[in-house]
Amino acid sequence: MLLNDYRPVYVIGIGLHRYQAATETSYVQLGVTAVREALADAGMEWSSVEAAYTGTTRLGMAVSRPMLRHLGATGIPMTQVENASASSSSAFRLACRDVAAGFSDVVLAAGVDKAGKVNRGEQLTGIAPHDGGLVVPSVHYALLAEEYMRASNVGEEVIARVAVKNHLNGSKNPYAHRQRERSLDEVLGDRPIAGSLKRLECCPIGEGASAVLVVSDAAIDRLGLDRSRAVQVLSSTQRSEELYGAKSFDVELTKTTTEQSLAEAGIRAEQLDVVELHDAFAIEELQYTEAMGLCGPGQASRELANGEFAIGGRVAISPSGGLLAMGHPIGPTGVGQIAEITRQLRGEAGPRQQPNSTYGLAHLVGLGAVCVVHVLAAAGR
Amino acid sequence: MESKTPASETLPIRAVRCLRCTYVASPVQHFGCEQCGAYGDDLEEFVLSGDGTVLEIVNVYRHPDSSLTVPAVIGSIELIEGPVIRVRLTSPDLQPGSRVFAVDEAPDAALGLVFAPALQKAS
Repeated sequence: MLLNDYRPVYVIGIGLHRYQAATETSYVQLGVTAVREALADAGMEWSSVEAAYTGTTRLGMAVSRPMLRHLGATGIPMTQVENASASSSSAFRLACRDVAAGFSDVVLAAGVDKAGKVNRGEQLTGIAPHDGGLVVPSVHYALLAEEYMRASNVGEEVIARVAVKNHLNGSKNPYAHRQRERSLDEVLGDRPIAGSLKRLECCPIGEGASAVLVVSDAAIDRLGLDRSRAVQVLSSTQRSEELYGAKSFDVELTKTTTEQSLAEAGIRAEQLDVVELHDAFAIEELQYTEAMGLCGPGQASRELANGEFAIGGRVAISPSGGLLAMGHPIGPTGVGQIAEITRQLRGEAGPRQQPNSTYGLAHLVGLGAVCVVHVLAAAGR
Repeated sequence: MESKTPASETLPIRAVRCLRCTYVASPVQHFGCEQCGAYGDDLEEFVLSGDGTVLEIVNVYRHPDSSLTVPAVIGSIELIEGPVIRVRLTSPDLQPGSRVFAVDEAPDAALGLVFAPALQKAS
């Protein structure tokens, strides 16, 4: 069964706490800031919310209630969701399924995280890796960058242009971790991390919070919400890694998950106006753009250089600044993407508005193991 | 297949072959075959040759684990038996397509495997 076999689902409220470097601010303050902003955006009271899902990765057990009780202890079901980078993407998916299936009419999907130690299940399996722990995500993507540059016969400046574009977008986003425009020379001349990847081609991981309110038609009518600002969720798709031989598992997983999500939404890749994707490392944007069918194989670098993926281009990719500039606090990132897509599809994105946006797609991979894709549509499309 | 290198903490490289579907996995694990789910006696350990070809190679300049020494060189290696593994390399001058082989240079097993250029093996 697909999401759109059930009741229509809408995003009616969005809120964020700015993504930022580590501070002494409690995660409770980060979280309630985002949720209160989402409630205000929707024009709704906390008492109307019937269930909550919270995506987080580094705060430990039972995060939801210590945070959400400060909005009023209403006794609603609260569930914590962890799926690495895609944690709150999965929280949003669960919220959508709750509403679509009729279990609830109003559900909160939130994400919150602080900088801290990460425990990865893969490191606790008892299977010692051959690399001795040297392959962390930056090294993994540096290896993929080498593969891409060789296969596409392009240089490292091509990958650096992704960082230039996304830092420009982030400079227009008051919620972004990095809000400074960067030149190609600045990116290429920055501190090397692994292979050709420089610091500015790697996402900042800090803290922040995000929240969206998911509702049914019945809730919109009953609570008197503004239907013209309700963005419909057309599909919700989640897959996990299979065996791909020597091929990049992130790319293959992205390809299959996106194909499925677009098919479920009933639209084609070329109809997308805005895309927020997992650009934790600059090379990923080029790979995923091609894997999603937004351009032909090996064409992403040329289309990027031609401005096709900039705000105002054929399809705006990461208009928020993406993980590279808006940042990647991990727990909040997935719902933060939904907030940006919603803002774009409402036409409320101000200086970073992609004109005439009707369809948007949000994509995250979680440590390669999972991929979550959502397709959303503007009201009255 | 017999090991070509002396016994050590890291060598010979071992793998498991699934007797149901022939899938080969390395490092060794007996939890179950990732391709078909077979387990127990259906997973057979064997020794890999330690010979392979470089697919990609990069220098690592910074690492979040301060106990690991950088710069370091790491590569994706396609072993002749099929598995693709990521291991340390002794030389940053290797290129995609270079032949390499496993050497007993890791000070302890926790640092993983080390591969060197195949020419070094011939000498």
